[in-house]
Amino acid sequence: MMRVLVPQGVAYIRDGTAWEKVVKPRPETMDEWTHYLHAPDNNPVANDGLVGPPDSIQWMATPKFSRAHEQQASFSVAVTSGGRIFYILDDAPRVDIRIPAE
Amino acid sequence: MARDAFNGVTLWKRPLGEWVDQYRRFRAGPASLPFRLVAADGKVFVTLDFTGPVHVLDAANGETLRVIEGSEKAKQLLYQKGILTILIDEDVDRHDEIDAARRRGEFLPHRCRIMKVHVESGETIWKKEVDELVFPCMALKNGRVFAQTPSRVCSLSITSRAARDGARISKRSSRFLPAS
Repeated sequence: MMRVLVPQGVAYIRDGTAWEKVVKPRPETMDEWTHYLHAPDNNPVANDGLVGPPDSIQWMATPKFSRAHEQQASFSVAVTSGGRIFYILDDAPRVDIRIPAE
Repeated sequence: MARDAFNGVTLWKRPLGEWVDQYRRFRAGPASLPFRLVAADGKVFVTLDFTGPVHVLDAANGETLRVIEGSEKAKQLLYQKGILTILIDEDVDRHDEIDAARRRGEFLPHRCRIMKVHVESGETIWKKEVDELVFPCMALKNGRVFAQTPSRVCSLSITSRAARDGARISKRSSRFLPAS
């Protein structure tokens, strides 16, 4: 059961008429990236003992292409904390950089 | 926007107000945009407008928990242990004028200040006016905020109730400081 749960994932296991709540603990060696440059000390190096070379794609989301690479790109920044990813995205059409940001 | 990092499901979205205009000069940044979003301890700290104040959002649903008073024109946010350190540039919206001056070889000063805020209470613990900063430059470690101006590197104690100057690291050009 724990093998298929994400860190901090929750399983409810039925035992007769009762349900037991089980939370998979987050490994202490798993880091977070809370600021643009990792942490408030602006040293862009993670303290993560589990990360390694990627071997598969977990999921994909739009936009597939960025608005520009010489003016502002679609993404301003992305950070992660508590099993969530947060980002600022300019979702304006990519046909022309002169279209105002959305 | 917020997504579940494991499966990519969209959790919530918040619209932004005025952001960087599309006529900004070629490859002119601004370099401050990535420093306006921080997530930690179940909260998200962000400016929802280019010159607007810092909002504290609930990381689970995106609802605004607090708007930090006096944090308009914030350029950089740092968060650690319930304390938010904000770098404010009063001239962040004068980039056309500043860029034009730089093309003439002139450097217009920015009026900057650093403020320390207790997130839970919203209390501003101290504010400190600083010289024009080399940006983005503010960093926090070992209870001190470090910032670099064109002429020196300065530090402020983040643990004190007042904006006490820490060690003045260099009075002269500090581009290449020895690691001491």
